[in-house]
Amino acid sequence: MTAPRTQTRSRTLLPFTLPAVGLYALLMVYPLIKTIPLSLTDSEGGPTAENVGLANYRAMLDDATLLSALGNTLVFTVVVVLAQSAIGLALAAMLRRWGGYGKALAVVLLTPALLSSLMASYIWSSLYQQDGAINSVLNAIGLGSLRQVWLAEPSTALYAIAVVHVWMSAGLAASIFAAGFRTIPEDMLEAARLDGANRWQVFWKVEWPMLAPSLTVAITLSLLGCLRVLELPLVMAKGGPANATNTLGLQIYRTVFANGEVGYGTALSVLLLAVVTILVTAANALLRRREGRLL
Amino acid sequence: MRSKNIVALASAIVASSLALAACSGSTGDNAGGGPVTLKVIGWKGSPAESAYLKDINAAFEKSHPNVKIDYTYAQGNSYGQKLNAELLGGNAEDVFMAQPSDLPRWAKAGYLLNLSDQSWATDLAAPVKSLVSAGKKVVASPSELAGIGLYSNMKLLKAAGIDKAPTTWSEFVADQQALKKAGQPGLALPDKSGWTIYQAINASAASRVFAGKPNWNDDQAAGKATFVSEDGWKKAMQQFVDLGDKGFVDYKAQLGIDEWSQGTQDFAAGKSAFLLQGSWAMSDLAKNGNQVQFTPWPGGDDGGQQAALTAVGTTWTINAKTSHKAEAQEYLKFWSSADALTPYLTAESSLSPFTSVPTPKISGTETFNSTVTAGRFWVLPAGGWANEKGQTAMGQAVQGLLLGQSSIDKTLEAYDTAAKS
Repeated sequence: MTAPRTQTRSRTLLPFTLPAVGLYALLMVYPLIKTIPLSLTDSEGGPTAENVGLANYRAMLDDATLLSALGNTLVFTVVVVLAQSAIGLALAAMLRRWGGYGKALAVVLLTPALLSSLMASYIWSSLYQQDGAINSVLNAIGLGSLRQVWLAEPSTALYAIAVVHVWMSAGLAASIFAAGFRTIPEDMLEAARLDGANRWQVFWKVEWPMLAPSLTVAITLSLLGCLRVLELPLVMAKGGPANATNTLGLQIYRTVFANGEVGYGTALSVLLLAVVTILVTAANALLRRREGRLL
Repeated sequence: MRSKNIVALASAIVASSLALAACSGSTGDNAGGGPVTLKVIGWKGSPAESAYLKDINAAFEKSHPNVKIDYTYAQGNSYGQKLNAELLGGNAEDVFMAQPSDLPRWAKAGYLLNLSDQSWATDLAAPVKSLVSAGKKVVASPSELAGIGLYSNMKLLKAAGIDKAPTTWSEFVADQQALKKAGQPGLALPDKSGWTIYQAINASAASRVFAGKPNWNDDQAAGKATFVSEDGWKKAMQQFVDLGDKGFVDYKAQLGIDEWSQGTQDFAAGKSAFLLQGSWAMSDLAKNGNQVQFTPWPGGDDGGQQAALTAVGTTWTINAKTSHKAEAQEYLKFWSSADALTPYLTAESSLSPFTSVPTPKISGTETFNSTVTAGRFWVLPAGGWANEKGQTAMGQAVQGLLLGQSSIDKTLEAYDTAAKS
């Protein structure tokens, strides 16, 4: 009796989902599918384009800057994902212990995430200048020898930009972990404490495993944001110095909008899509498996 | 009641359609012989700039009472994106500003009207014509020939005992030594975007390569010449390596400074004695009563030929789909006359791209302009290796050289790779 009722209910609900599915297909799936044939053309943005087969994909092999852009993107992603998750987790743990003050602080921590990337870029670019606040502070505390032109030194530029990304997104990660903390039953923590567990043991043995779903969400969202990063390296360092901050997203932007190579740029975006899909799917699968083991 | 509603709905649809038709592209409002509104878009004429563009358009309207100019200013960074989308959508303005590097692509896409038969096309200065052409067709009207050269703050130079801007490389190096000795600021090459030093090397090459081989660009395009095999390019790059080695330029610091904002502001504030920039920056750099000279980049040797680097700056093109072809052609014809060009060239401190329109006299640019008038100048091949893509790749390669990551030969090989792709 249950199965036919469920089927009837599904049939009743189906028409209600159709508009949303239709819109999603039209606005998201259709452009995505159209990307593939466009990537097989020599389009320069005009009304006509010749089919060039896999030439754009073969050209990637000879593109000297593409490999460094891919490397920069991966380094940036690893640094930001690790730092953002660690800082977000630490902040969430702090907020949990600070009760009402913690809630107020949570709002403050989210403020950088509300800023546009453009605004954040301008603020931090001025901080990173040769005579900017960061170098002034280093000087004032006797660490003048560490002064740098942070965005002009190839060895520091990418990390300087990663710091800005972490600054913007750590509050969001903290919110995700804070939500995770709230799902942990208080009596479970109490039981651990009664068994003699200290604060670190409570965190490591009880809270950390219970936060597995939050970690999955935080890392997945962070991966998505980092792999497509564009605005910060574009505004803060223009991809330089010497391509040190050129990311895959920036490479696509320049190829399409500055060089007008729409066909090749679209092929690059297909590559980016593949990289994002593979990495996010793999990370998600690993984290879900971890959840299954821990929970 | 129902039929009334249907009539009302039909009327609303018809009215909306008419309104939409009116909104898209140029207005066809001269059907009854009334004035035509010509839609024009460009990246010049921001609210912060002086009103010269408004004045030029007003002068055109005055001489053409049947045409009204509806000018849209679009900020430089987003201009290309906006216009590309409009062109693809078929609703771009009747007349639009374009950079020479965009012309081959837009002409190939069929967006640009062929202007070869226009009277001003025969008046174009010889080196300019190929840069506003696609194939053998003239597709744009240039509104300036911009100079790229050396700005000197004469007050700072005088404080170091120097009474004139340098004209050769040895003078330039000696001046920097004198400035250093006198405790005065020296040369600034702000290069965050990878533009300044790339152009400074091109400016040196104007004397070291093109003065002796005026057809080098054609040879390069034909595969008969390469950057890495040309001694003049090597010497031009070596000059900049030497400036860093001698301590005249701190490249790590310069690579952190934006050439379009902080770099020019610093020069205007007297924080550097020398700066490479375009002639268009003259009005900003000469602010606050600064005594500024704009001269060709002193890249040549003593006794050698000194040449100036120039680039076709803004150009005007006509949308191939315009329904006001005659009026748009009149507008471009006006822009090739002294009535429009003289105020524009004065505001931009640029040179005339037409043989019949003289370059206005602008204080501080006399040496540069006389060098060009004497025919000792080279125009950047914006539709060739100096296009947007080449500029980005070469600018980044030069940064690598000056940061010690690469050699001159490797940098020039990177130039050749960028020029080929």
